[in-house]
Amino acid sequence: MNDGPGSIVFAQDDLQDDFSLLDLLDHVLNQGVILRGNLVISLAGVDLVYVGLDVILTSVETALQHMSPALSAGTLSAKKRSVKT
Amino acid sequence: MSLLLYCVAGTAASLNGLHAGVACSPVLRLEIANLAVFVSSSADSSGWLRAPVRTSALEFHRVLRQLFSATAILPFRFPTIFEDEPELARHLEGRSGEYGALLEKFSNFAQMEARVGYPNSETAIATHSGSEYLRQRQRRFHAVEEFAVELRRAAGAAATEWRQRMTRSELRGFALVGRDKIPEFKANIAQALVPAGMHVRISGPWPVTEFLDFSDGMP
Repeated sequence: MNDGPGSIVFAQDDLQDDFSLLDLLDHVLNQGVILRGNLVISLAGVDLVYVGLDVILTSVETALQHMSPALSAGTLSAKKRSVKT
Repeated sequence: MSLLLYCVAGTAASLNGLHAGVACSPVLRLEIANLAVFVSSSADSSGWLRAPVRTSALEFHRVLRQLFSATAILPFRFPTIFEDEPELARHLEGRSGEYGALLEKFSNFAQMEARVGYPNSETAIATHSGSEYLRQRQRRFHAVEEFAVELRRAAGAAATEWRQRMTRSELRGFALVGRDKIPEFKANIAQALVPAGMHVRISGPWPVTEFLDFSDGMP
């Protein structure tokens, strides 16, 4: 194993830096409070958290009406998280 | 009207000069259940999810960053969308005690993060056999874990708490750092001796997320 010297870098806010962009997207999409008892719908690879089970279908339908044909006919899958009682 | 939830904060929190949020929708400040709640409102929630989603995510981040620069926040994962204000209020009224306690607990803290690994970890291991490849991976795995201990030590008293987890390609360390200790934290970490070939990336300050211990286990 021919390793170069170890390195430590401090991220800047420069969003032209791909790694800074990845940090940022990770925080926004994978960290933060996520709610329980909601329907999580995955649409084109993006998890959408809709709160309020009784109106979720309406929201999905409304959302689909506004999506492009490619997206609305594409990878739509729904999974129900455990409902808090 | 659908509501895109950015975060909650204490009632002293203001918009801090914020105007536009995701997809240029105005950022609104509501006060519900003794919390300041920051949302955008729209009759058509699909606008927040326009392709590429990355653009919306970056706009979402800009809102959080602006608010966090002035006060502690509990950010919500993008996109968290409530159907209407009554739905939002029901949720907040049920969790206001817990959210308020966390905001108070972390009122003067930020989260600093470390990513520790080997660049191009999958391809950089040059071996002649699969078993040697696995041995090298194992050695690197242990080296990363050992260095995480060194990082924690180097952070010293500047880090009130440390948590970490392994991903497939790297170790992620999370340090809870007082806002006034961030320069000290960075200076301390910079003194750590990084083993050959290892790469460490430090980012932050971020709003506290990794240390949010909810009663039902959900972050």
